[in-house]
Amino acid sequence: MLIVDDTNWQTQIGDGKQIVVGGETRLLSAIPKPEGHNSRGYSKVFGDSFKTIPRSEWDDRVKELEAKKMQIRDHQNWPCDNQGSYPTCWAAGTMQAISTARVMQLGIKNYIRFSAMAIACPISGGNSGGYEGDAVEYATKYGCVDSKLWGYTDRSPSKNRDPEIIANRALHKTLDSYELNGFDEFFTAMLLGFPCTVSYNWWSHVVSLAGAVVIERGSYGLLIRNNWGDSYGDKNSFGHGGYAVFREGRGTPSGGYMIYQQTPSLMLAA
Amino acid sequence: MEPTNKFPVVRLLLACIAGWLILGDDIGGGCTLPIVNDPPPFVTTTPVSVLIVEENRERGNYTPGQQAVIKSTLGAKAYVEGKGGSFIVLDKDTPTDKAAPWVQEAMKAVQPNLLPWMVAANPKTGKSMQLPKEEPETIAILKQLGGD
Repeated sequence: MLIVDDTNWQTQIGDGKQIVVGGETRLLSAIPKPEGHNSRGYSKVFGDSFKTIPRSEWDDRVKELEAKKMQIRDHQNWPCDNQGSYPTCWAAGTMQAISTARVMQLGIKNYIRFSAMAIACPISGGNSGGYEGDAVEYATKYGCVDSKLWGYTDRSPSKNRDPEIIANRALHKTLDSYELNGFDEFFTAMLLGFPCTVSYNWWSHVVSLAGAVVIERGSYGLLIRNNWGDSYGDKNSFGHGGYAVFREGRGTPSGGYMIYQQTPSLMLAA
Repeated sequence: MEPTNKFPVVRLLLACIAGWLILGDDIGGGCTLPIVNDPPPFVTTTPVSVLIVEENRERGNYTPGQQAVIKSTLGAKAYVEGKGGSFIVLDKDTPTDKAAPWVQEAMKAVQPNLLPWMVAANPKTGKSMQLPKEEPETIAILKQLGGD
């Protein structure tokens, strides 16, 4: 199990701007929450709606999640998303969280790999870093796009005017999201089974969360799923990769959003 | 004779309704009300399909058995999907205008004051009821519809 903490975090950052993983150069391009950014225009405050689960319950709850395969990673029966060499982690981490939320609502038959570039291109042109809240906001206001229609790494801004793309976005909007703050809130979201997109300022990177972990007695971590393909980190029970445990402290997200509901646009009849 | 004694059946019925409104569930030795068997609450061609409606903010307060049905990839979800059916979990406030017709029909059967609620059906019959507190009870009900 890959555990990232204060002892080894530097193995994750390369020269601070990029790192080679899986044979590809990964740009570390996330930016912190911009000053003056108004998250309340598209998301709610987690603490206003959810009670944080006390630490005294964490061990038992994690045991139950593992025993009954209730961790978020247990739903992720698809290869890890791969942003390639593009500076789009802030869109990619958010799309992986949104794809997961959709599967947890509608079942694996309705899995859609949402295009990171379909979010990044309209916001940044797809060639510069960004903030994950901007991706959540765009998914809320305009919707996500199936990567079968807009390639996952296809940097073609003109596609955004395609009527088929516009129609597809309307079927895949984020309906409900919450901004979280602090390790206990993110851990609670994992215990409740709500996927999150999270940023790490020391990493300049955005990934999604996929589980709650008891590393040792009294030491907790968050299971992250990266956007660098299956070759990064550990694999889940389906054999798909991208996972690592980030221990509380270095592994406490700098910020992030919990994705609760997507448009329930079913592809299949009952 | 007191006028109220003329209508014992009506009084009993009113008392039952009042009890149901106050208690919500578990009336009459643990029987969860209401259950609709016929006609099915939605049209399906699968052996069994299910819609569960929850209040997302309350998920942490649901029983472990209810949370297992909602979150687990085993148990109820594995059973329904193994039968080729759909297993859908939505928040009570989720708009369903973009959803498949069967979800829209199932949503009409939900009692929003008794969440989490389960609506399940096979091609001939169905059930609409508060999600049982224990996971095995939920699976047993689904097997009544979908077979072993």
